[in-house]
Amino acid sequence: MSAEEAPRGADRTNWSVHAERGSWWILRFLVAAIRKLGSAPLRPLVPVVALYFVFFGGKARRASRDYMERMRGLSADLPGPIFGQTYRHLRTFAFVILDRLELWSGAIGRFQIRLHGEQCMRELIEHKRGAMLVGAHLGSFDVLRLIAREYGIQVNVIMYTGNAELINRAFEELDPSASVRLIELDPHAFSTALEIRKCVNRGEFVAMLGDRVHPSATGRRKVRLNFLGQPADFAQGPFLMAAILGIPLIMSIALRRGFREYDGYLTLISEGGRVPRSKRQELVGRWSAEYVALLEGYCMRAPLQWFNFYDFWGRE
Amino acid sequence: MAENESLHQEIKVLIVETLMLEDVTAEAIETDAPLFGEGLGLDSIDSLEIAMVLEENYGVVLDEDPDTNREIFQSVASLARFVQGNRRT
Repeated sequence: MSAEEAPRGADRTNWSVHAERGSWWILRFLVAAIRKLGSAPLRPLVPVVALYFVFFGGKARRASRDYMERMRGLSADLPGPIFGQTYRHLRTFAFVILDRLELWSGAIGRFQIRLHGEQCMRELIEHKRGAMLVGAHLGSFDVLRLIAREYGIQVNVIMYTGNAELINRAFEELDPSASVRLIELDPHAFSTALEIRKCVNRGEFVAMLGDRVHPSATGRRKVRLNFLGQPADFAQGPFLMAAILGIPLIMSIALRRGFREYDGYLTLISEGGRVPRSKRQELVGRWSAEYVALLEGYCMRAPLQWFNFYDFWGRE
Repeated sequence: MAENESLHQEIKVLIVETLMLEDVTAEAIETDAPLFGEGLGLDSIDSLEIAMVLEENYGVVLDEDPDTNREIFQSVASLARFVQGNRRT
């Protein structure tokens, strides 16, 4: 399904109908080109693409500007005119996308990942125990894929398709490595959660993004929490799943440090274990709050790597 | 038949209690109505919870095969049929 075929009549400002521009074919072409020539010929184009979006990006540019204003208000270190910040924000996004393309063209060895807090993951792997990895649209989620390869573990990435995930699908096709599997998340299908359980029972890892709420999510499946100075909706799915299945919950964020360099941060939010129903609400609430607090910290550390280009704080 | 009905009732109560459905009573759930989508409007996490509570209560094992599950999770009636055919307690 292409972006144009996204559900009609849906709220156009919602993330699920946004698509990262460009088609599958362009992506394939780019990855093939990178495979042959490396990413060097494309890097000079990044500022051009970023400038294009600064002038013609419409929604993305507005979202970026609003976000940058917010971060400056919170005293993130963002000097200079807002125009320049928006440009840098969009440029960073383009660089991260380019890195993803390069990663998936087979150049994994060229990237350096510095892991922080990976001990929790090591122990789980040793005991062949699966866990829920919860990430965000901050930095690059793909670095998780590198970790999977490095440790030789199976990671199942659960995500919605039919929008920006076109990119992911293209990646899947280009690199059908067995270490990462994509599972489509349809909240109204009954099988996704059962499939997740199956993966976890096999001792595999399951990865979900916790910062975007599916437009169809009901009150039971989202929570409104203060984030960077204003309440915003966050998904409850990953946290609920961890509680119901009694599996460890690890927050996983990778920030771009520089040219082909990333920092991967793994934080154990819950060690797992059976959660009595009477305690579930309270625990899930506590985990979500911890996730959001950590996310705020990462945002302050790397304000330019927040890649939710829509009105994140908007009410539906 | 009466046995069937009591199992239907049991499962309805389990569903309402497990999912902590606020506006729905066990009596209000129709035995043959679809549980997902149009019917009760349950979602994927709900189905996992139903699976786990059925496993706990009846010793059944829900395999994760999507096609089989599609049939099992059709309605209360289909859940009951599955439980009856596979229960160990």
